[in-house]
Amino acid sequence: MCAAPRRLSCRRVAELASAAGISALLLVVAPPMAVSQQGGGGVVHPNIIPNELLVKFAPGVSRANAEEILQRAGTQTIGAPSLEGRLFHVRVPDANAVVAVKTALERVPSVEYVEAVQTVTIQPKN
Amino acid sequence: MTRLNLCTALALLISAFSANAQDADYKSPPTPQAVPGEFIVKLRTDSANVRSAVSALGGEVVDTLPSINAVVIRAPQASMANAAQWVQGIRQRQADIEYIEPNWLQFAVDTNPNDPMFAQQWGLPQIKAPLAWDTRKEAPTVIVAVIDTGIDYNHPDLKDNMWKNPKEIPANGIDEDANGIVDDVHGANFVGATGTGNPLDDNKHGTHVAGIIAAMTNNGVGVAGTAWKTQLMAVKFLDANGSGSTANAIKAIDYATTMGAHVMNNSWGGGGFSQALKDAITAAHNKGALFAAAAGNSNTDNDASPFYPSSYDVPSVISVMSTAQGDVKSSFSQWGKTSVDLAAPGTTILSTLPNNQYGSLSGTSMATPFVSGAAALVKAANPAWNGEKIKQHLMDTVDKVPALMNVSNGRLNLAKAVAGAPTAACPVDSSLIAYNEFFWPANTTFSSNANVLDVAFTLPKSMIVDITAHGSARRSAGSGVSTFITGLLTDNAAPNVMWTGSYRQGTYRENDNHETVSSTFSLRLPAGSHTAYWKLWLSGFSMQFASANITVRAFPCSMGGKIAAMEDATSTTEVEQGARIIPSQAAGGASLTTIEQQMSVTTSGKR
Repeated sequence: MCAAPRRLSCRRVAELASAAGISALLLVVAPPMAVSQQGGGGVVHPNIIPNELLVKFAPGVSRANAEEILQRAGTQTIGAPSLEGRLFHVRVPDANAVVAVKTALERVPSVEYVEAVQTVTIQPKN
Repeated sequence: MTRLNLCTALALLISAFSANAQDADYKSPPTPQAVPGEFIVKLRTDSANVRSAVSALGGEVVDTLPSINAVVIRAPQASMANAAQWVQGIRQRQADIEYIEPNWLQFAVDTNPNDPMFAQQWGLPQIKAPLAWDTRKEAPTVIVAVIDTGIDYNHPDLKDNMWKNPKEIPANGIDEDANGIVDDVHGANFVGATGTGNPLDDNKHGTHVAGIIAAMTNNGVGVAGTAWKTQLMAVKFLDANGSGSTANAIKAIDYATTMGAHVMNNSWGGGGFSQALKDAITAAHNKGALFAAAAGNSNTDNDASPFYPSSYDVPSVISVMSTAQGDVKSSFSQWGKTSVDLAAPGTTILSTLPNNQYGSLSGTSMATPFVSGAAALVKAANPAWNGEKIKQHLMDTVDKVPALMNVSNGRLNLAKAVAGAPTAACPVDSSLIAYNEFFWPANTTFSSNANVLDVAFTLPKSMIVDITAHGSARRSAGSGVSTFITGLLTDNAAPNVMWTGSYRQGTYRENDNHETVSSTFSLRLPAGSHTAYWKLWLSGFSMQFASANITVRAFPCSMGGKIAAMEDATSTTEVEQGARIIPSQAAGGASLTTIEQQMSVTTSGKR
């Protein structure tokens, strides 16, 4: 049974996994995780923006190649990449697909990391 | 020194000597003050005749000013109270005198701008900005990115300090510099999916922050900035509600890095650790930028629970907490003995607001831009310094305010920061450190206005001095809300006129609440003997001190030279005291208690 969400077909997940050199089986058995609820120290933060991710690619990955990987993962890029073209801000149209997309992208060798987008605020007291 | 008509000068002098100040006068800026009994005598010929006349009337010539053919004379002690009359006798005996004028105390080292709201900006004197401005007040080549809700770049008190992208032609719809943002003349806006060139503030926060950093100053309008002139780059990623995302924060930081910002002000935070945000900050660090970040407003310990971005372990991130008047931690401010780098004023800070308005806000948001403004001035003085070096320098030159020692490294001191790097070439003159304290087994109680402590010192020449008073006290009797003020004053000028910027205010709401009571400031004083008094104003209640000390440290360097950090002092002359309380009568009839000290001198090592 394929555990991919509706908007991300099992085939596309398999393609992505294939491109990443891993088996679809691994994706299937990978335990669901709270995509975004974890910071670097494992602290749970409630201020996550749903459906959005930050994806950083390894040096040397072309923008075209990166965008192709992101598109095949079912994401839409938001604005231009930053950090010398390596960091992409993407939207995952289906909220139910976020966990699977993140997991899949993390297994792409050219992806350095994937993380949730969080809310920050100004710091006046009044 | 301004040359004055003798009559006018003497009238002013007599007025100054006869000042019978009430408590309210302590908070007033000093009226013209002169060294008691001293006058500058401009000669038509040589000084021999004048010396004879002065000697004949019991006075002495204490200095010569050969460049203007003048001497400084001093009246005899017995004539001090009538010095003006005494000097008239010199005048009458000598025809060789061109003019005589009082030896005015020179407070001009404090550069006070003409911005009408400057007097309400308590934070600037708190960080010794007026003293600093005598050395450096502008950083015209430094770009400070305000990464925030935008800036009202049309504000009359900001517009001339806005960064202007040299490669963009305004409003022509063309991205001349090919950075992906069209017409980014004053900065960029990353609130939406794609960046735009209009970072106009639709909140108020960013405009307020910008004014603290560099409101146009000495322009006769509004408020003063920490830096009088710098280039404010508006980089908006926080929306009208003051909210934004780490994704857009990264785009904003990336833009500021690419466009060459030297300092980045970040009065925002929240969320958990983000590797991507840390990477963006690291990229800014690698380009040499300083990243000033607010420590947060949740009154928690950042050492125990980090607050991002101020807690990122990047060498050029400087984490800023907030202080209130009295040099104490703001009640809301987060802190961190190791993770928060320094403190700056952040409670009730007056600054610019959109649409030509002004107003006060509180928060570590407001403390951070004082540090960014200071960083701009340091960068202007040291163009080769990167963010990490600037951060270290700002930390090295803080005031070690006792009340902040357990929550941060100290409080920003702009005067020391712009005066130069600490150097052995100009250490604290340890031979001129004066120190006095009490710590009695039986606590000392004051029930009315009092001199808590004083310390005498003599300067061989005009010098910069740091004066710090600190104590631990509680309200031992009283009811309701009781307000006290502590301050420092000198007896060397007009009686009971406080040195500018030296008073601090605190409040007790309940008996037995302990408070840290402190005052600290820097100023230049002329040669001669001085006494620094730590004075306490209170009414209708009693304060009991468990401990108190007052310290004067003298720096031999001239303005523009190097001022050493306090820690450079290698020895301290301590004055231990036995003390007795002598009730006396204060000016205006108020009861005044004076502590007369019987001192013995010992020497201790590094404090």
